[in-house]
Amino acid sequence: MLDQVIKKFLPNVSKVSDVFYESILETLKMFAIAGSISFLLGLFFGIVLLVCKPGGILENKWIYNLLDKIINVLRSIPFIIMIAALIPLTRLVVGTAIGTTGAIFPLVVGITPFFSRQIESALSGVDPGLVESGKAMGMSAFGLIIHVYLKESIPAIVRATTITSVNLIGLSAIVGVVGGGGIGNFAIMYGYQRSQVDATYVSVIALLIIVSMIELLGKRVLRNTKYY
Amino acid sequence: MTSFSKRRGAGLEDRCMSEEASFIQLKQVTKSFHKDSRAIEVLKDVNLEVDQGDIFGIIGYSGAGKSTLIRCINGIESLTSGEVILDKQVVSNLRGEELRRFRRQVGMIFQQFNLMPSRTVFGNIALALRKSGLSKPQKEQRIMELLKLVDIEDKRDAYPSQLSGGQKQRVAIARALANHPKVLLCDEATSALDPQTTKSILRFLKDLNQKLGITIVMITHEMGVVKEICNKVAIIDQGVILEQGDVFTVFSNPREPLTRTFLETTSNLSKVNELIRINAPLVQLNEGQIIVKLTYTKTTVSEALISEISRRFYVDVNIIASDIEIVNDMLLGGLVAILSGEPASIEQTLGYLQEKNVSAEVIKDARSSHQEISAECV
Repeated sequence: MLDQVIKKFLPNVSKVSDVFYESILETLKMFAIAGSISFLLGLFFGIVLLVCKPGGILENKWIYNLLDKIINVLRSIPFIIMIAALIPLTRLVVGTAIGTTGAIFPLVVGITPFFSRQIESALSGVDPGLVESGKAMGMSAFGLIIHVYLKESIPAIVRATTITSVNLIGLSAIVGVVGGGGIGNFAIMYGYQRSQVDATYVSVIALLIIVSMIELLGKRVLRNTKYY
Repeated sequence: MTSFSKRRGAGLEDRCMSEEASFIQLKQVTKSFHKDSRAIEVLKDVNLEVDQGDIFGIIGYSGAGKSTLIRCINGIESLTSGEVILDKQVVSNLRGEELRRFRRQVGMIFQQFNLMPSRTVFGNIALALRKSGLSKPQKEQRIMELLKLVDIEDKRDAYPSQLSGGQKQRVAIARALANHPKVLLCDEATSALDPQTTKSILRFLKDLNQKLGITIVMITHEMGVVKEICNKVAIIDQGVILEQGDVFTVFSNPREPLTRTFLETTSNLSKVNELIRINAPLVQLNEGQIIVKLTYTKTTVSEALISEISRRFYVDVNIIASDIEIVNDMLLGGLVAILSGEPASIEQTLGYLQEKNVSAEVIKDARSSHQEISAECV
């Protein structure tokens, strides 16, 4: 019964359903690996931006300006062009520029600048008075970062992470265009190149579900990190 | 009262012991900020001396540089030039871990309390004890001690947002005292509180000063705060200390116009001037009467001055406003009164008052030999 409904509405996808499932797994894999790496990098660069900023606790004009410029440049390049431009570097770093393995490197380069900015602005939301009272307590810069900035902005960091994750899912679909694997790749190969409309729609729905789940998870975590 | 005079006595002894160097010294401190390649001088050649056990008030309008000044004492603000010495340590020379260890010896509380919103009361105090070297049970014991001291033991697991302003400031005080500091810096500590809570926090700070012998330096723009608990005061305006010294000496004999302005904010004697300006019925004089403003500069109030005048010179004294406060166990303030009597007796009265160290300022005069000077103001 269900088989027949699927065959009727998804005449093409039903024939390659295992390819479709595989593509979902690939997307999740890219998301997990690229996401974890960029989370750590973004957190690091976000903190560096925050503390080196004029008036920051470890003010450093040179580091701040350099990082600020790099992030602006990287963010202004359209992702699809960045993937192509990164191909030689991707080969150098991970050995291949295609498939999920080849996609992770450009994803990291693409999302980290965005996430760094998000983290910087999340941490900037911490009341300067709290930082001052931390200083008055005799905290070191490291102590201030851990016990004041990070601790007090956990909800803001969760929010930033949710937004960035949704963005990352979007980027992971674009990687499919250049043979990166995943749901995007599936949509291009079957939906676009072979004009199988049902493949496109199924891809859209799959992405929609993943994004909704991320947002739901984000909300859950946010609720648990909120204090009174 | 007795305990207070005892403390003053103790303070005096300390002063004798450390005659050559005060507990906290600011020597020719200047501080300038750079903004758009222009240097703005926030503190100009500031010299301050605070003795151990003092409650030292620094009063000034906002923007006078008092926030910067208090932050120089614990090294949160660096100096452009000059020296800050606290308990024989040159603060301006401390760096890195030395400076951080020093800061743990100096408690600080703030106008906006600055408690960490994500931590409970317990967690907030524990944060200050992080580098104290105490074991976990010792820390817990110390925190309970502090909560008991500030009288909010039952709020141990509450979050700051669940507390009232006064309770928040008490937690902040507990946190500031965690590492047994010798000095407590108060940055407008009561400015965000209602009058009643302000009073209870001030009383509490005074208690701490007596019980723990802790030196308190507080900045404020409220005259009432200084009068309530400080024993010494400095008046700051545009980065310059105008005058400083014993609260009673400074306030009974203000040299600077700004000091007078601050005094007037809490005195209702100045209201009489306003009444005279609009020629209110209360201050309308009959022929031969004068209005005088009497200000006590020495503790002579107990001498039944008014009755003395009436008896000796047959002058009637009608008190229309009075403002006498107890500052450091001494009477400070004065009163405004209408004097009526024979012109000669009034002259004699004024002379007598001067003799008794009471400054008498004639603010309205209706004696026949004089023009009614205040009439011009109307």
